[in-house]
Amino acid sequence: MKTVQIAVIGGGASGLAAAIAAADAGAQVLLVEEHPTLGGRLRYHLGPFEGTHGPVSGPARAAELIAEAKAAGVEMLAGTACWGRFADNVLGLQDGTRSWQLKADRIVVAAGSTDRALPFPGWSLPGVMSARALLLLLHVHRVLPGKRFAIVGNGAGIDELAHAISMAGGEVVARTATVDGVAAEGARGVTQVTIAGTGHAVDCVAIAGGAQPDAGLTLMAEAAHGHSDLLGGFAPLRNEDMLTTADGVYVAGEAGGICPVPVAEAEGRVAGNAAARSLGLGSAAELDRAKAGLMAVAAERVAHVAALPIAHRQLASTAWAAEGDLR
Amino acid sequence: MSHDVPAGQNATGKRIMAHPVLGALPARASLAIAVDGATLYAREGETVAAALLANGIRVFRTMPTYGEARGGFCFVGRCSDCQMVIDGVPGRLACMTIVGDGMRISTQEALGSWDTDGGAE
Repeated sequence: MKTVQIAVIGGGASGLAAAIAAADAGAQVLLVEEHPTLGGRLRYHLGPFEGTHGPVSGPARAAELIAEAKAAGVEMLAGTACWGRFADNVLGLQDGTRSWQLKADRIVVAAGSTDRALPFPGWSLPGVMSARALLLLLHVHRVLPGKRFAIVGNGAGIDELAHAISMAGGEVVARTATVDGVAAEGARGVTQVTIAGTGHAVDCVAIAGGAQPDAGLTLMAEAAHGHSDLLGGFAPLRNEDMLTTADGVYVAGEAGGICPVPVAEAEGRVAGNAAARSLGLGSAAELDRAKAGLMAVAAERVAHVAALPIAHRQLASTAWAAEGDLR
Repeated sequence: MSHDVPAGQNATGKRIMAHPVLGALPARASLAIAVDGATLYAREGETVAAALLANGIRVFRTMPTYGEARGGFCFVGRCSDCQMVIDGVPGRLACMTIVGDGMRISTQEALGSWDTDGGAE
């Protein structure tokens, strides 16, 4: 079985940052990304984000991180999914044509998040899609899947979504924060959405219900998890090194709780440095610097919470205290 | 703008040719794909799902029990709504499959069926 010192699962902001940090510390690093392209959400969130030389768009920030990872000697496999984690940190990987196992001394789970689906009558009609799906179509694939759009839900980022639609040439004709009283209709695809008794002709409906951490791998690793509305649902418990309760399994970015991009990157740097340190690589000073970097952007997570819909925010205040207890 | 798009890539006008932040649509090679027997054009490197939506096709499959139409929902490989018969193999996710030149794509009825001998050849 092939072995690697540090395996990073996920090639978004947190995974790339973790891989760079670990490789810079001298570790042999393999990063896998299930999607055909690296970059994660940086591919479809336009930003601006803090780049190496100032503010840049998401795709530009992704390009910077990918180039940095390459230069640091990280082996990166796009189009390769991690489908399982077994005892002794053996991972199951597959790339669509073959499946194999890999033994890692340390694992950084940077698997990101999945959009929550908000069901309502007609939500499964063609033309009704998650907010993330629409952002991917608009910004990665450069396809405008409709002319007249409705946005259902009150997840973080609905204003960004509405702006993205209009920048791409579409029109947002209806928005509603709740699914109560919402119904989509159409024979072989959505043609109308009814909101509180009023019908709107639309050809695309985006469901923006927020996101939840992808906890599949940390659950398979039997790491302890807790439920936190602040973090977006079930998320692994972790210490200040981003280490879960599973031996050698670290988690960074949205796989550990919904967070803005700068927090994901900062968590990745902590996880990558800590994983390397645990193998006797890197330096304590570098790990401390990464932790200070995370503290410096922690306020952004608080601001992120402040931007959440009211119902979420009320729950989040208690969850925030709970998260403090976990650390 | 004088940006040229290879023939067929924007047949339905659904391509975002110019974007205020991302700029002009980058040039990519055109690939011919066969969708339910009709020849359509895709951009090299994009997913089957993106190519179909760009061509105005939003029904990807029908459900086994009641036959309702489904298109893509999550586009990130999670929901399985976009299963299609691709190059004779049913159940492939249109959102995770990169288009290939000459790829045969069929709307998947229910669970679909295998056609690995290529049919035409």
